[in-house]
Amino acid sequence: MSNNKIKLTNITKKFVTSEMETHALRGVDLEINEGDYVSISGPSGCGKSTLLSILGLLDTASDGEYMLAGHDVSNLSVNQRASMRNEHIGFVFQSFNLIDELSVFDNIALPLRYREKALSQEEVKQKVEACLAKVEMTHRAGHKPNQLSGGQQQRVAIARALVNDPAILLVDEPTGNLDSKNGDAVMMMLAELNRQGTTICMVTHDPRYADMAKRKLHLLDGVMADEFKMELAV
Amino acid sequence: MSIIKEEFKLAVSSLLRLPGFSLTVITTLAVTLAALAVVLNINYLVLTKPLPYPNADKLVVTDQSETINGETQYGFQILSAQYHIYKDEQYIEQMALMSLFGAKLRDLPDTPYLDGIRVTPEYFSMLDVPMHLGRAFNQQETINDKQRVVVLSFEAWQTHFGADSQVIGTYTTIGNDKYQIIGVAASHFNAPEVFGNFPMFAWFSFDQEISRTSNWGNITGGVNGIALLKEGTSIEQASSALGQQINELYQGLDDVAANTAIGGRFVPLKQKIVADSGEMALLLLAGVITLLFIAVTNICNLFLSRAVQKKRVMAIQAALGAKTQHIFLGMFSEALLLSMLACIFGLLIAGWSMVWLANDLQYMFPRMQHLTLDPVTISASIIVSVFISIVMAKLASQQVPYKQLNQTLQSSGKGTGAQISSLTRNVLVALQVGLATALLLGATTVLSPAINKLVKDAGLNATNVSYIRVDTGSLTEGFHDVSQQVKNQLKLLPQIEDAALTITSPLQMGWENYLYDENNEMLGIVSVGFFDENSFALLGMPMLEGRSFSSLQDSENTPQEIIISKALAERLFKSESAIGKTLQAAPNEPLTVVGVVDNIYVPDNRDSYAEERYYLPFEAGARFALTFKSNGLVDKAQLLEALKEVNPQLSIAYFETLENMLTTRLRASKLVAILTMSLIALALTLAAAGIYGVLSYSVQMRRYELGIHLSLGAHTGHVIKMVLKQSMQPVVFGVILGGVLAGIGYLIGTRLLAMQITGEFTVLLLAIPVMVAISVLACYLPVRSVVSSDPLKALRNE
Repeated sequence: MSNNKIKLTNITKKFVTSEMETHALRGVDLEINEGDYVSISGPSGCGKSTLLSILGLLDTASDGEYMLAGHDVSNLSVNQRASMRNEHIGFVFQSFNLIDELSVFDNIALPLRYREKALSQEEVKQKVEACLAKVEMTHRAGHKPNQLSGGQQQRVAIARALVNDPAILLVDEPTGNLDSKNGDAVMMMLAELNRQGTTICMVTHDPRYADMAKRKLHLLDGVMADEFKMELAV
Repeated sequence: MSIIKEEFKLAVSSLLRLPGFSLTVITTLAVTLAALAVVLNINYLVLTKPLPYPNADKLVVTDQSETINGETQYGFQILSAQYHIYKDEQYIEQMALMSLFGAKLRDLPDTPYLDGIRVTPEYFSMLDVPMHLGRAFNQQETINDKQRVVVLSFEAWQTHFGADSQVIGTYTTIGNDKYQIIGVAASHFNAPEVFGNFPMFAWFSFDQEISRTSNWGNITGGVNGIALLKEGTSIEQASSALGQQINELYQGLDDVAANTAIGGRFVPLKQKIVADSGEMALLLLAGVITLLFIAVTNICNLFLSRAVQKKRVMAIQAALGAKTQHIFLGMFSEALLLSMLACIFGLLIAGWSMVWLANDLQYMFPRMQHLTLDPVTISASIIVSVFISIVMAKLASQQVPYKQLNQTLQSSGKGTGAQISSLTRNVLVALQVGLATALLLGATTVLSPAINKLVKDAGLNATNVSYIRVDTGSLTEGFHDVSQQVKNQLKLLPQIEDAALTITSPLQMGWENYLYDENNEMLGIVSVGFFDENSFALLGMPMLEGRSFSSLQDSENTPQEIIISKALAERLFKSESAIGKTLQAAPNEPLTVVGVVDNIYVPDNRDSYAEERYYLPFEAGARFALTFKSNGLVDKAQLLEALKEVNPQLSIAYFETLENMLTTRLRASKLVAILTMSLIALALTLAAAGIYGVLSYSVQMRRYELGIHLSLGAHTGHVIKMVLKQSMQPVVFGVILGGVLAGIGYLIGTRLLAMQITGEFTVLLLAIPVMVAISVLACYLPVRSVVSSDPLKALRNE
């Protein structure tokens, strides 16, 4: 039996200015279960980053219902959303979004500082080191982000997204700022993480990388098109 | 706890990377907090800090009133009237009678002058005067006991008696009398400043007979009392009842002029000490608070820019689950670090300033000997710093768009996506201009009277003129001959060109006496001077009509003449000539007006000048003095030698140049001018820097746009004009706002706080163009740097 992590029902997002109204998403329904590896692709401006932002509670839907790990998160306060993000979501950004003033270790530890129940120094160290090992960046723990290559920064960002054991990893164009070699390496890492049980929802415009997901969703003009599932060969 | 520690660690490392930002915030706040600390302390001491005496809030000063022809003045007392109040048992629980007194310590080699007051024994018990050695007066050493005992101040004991612990019980000659030293007051005792802000070195017993009839001749500010009223008696009751009683005594005297009356006007001790200085203290506080607002507006701009810089980091933190309080903590850590550093530096600057200013400030405010960084001032500074930190952190952390974090995260902070809104920029500029304008307008109302006083010609020639008061020692007669001989002896000195006899310094405007017409009708209480026949010429005081006094050589025939000032002549005689008219300084003693002399404008504690004055011919007594004009420096030793040539008993009681005496009188005005100009300079600098900061930022945001204009052929003048036009809008609004704020401040000051706020309109009008000029410059400089470089750089945003 699958464990439902995310359920979107009739999600709509409108951008309203004095001159016009733009519908970025129109009545989107989506379910993601535990262990899924979902890719969302589509042409530029189709609404895929908007969808991912709403999934990550970085943006608010204009209408619709959003259930995350069994909680209705449609109408939460700012701090409640922050708590949900911290507890259930790991976000990987296209532009990495690491903090240059902090070391790699401290960047990865950042989500742990915002937990409801604080961890001891030892517990933080254990968790961070485990994540560093997963992304093979243990040897760079003391470095600052601006001392790393793009690929290395993205691996650190992935480690940060994993450190709090989130229900789902949301990945926004992870290879957008990387060359093909580093991009391939990051995608291999994501595949491996999914193999180890991490639920992933990824937005990408690259069809090669979209194909690496088990479920491929297509967004066009704010509407979810037919689903193409990749069936694993047994 | 660990998250707080982590945030502070991050704040330290972030701020170390931003030395410009950090230093600017620290400097701006430190200077402002220093000014605030000093002025807060002044206000605390003057207005709030309780007096250090038992029942201080119940002590009153027994001021009197005097009404002549319907006009009343206050603060001049009569010793016998005060004695009557002192003896009252119906309204007065306890009272200390006081009278200013000073004389030379004749047993000491340099015969220094000892300034003090005569007091009754109640003074020590009522004020709980702590003693370092010996004891206070007892009830056998009060009025009419004719005892001569003295309690020295700690400073006088150290300075003149070598801190000798065996001094108690010894005798010393003060003036012409022997006094027994019975006590030394503790070093921390500060006498209540009833007679003015000057130190007290000794407390003497009353050694003369005083009764309800003995001392009605002198009406002076040098006599007063501190009283504790009976339980249930209000100040108004006591003042009214006792005022009536002393007036009845006064009316019962011989030769009392018609239409004159005296009365009581008791005031609380604190109110007497503070007098008008409370108003100045509040004005200073208003000025510094305005300065603080300007500084805070500046810092708001800096923190908003910092928030823009940090927006992406804060958005990342929020995306990772940081709540609003976590974001706030991050900014608060930075703000608190900076403001605490600023507070420390500010307090150091304040402490140093207090040491430097304390001596001068005592000319303006009472209790300045306590000016120090006390716990109240330090706490207030810390509270203000923490409050500013909270406000800055709140302002900065609100820049995070919590509901649309994706926008910030996806833009990665590049380009001009992250910026302070134009509304915010305009508000910041308008606020700074408004506050600075308000402060400028307010400060000029204080500055212009002070400058007027500083530049006003005194109307007499003080250049190379000196004043010497002669101590006649134990001489009891022959003063006329002695004084004439001294005058002649001084004129023999090669440096001295001329000399003239007098009783007090020509700058002594506070000696006032009655003036009557020929029918003994009281014409007023007027400042009086005692001059000889060549005083006016020596002092360069032009005689507008008539002549100086006849010769005063003949001691038997002092001329019955009077010379009056131009202002007095105009009041009494309008357009008629005053020459030959009759006036009287005492009833039934007619004097003929022989001359009208121009007004003099000698600065004193009052806001206006004593233009009405009359001059009587000098009559020698135990007290006499001279003014002399010299063509070079005159040594005090030479003068002393000249006096000794006339009589070995003579010595110098006081010697100073008139220029120095005038400078001392102008010290308070000078300090007001310096403080006000410093405040203005600081406010204008902060406002200009703040406006420049905001507009420089907004011009930077528009570089690309301005580059397009220039590359399409727009003249630099056109671009400058375009930017200035838009930038000046909040400036104009700010100037109007400043005027409104100043107007509100004026109304609050005059209507609610009953302050006297004056100022010349022309000076007020000057303030506005100054503010506009500074704003234009602050607007012009940033745009000039853009238009003066290659347009391509602007297009490339280099």
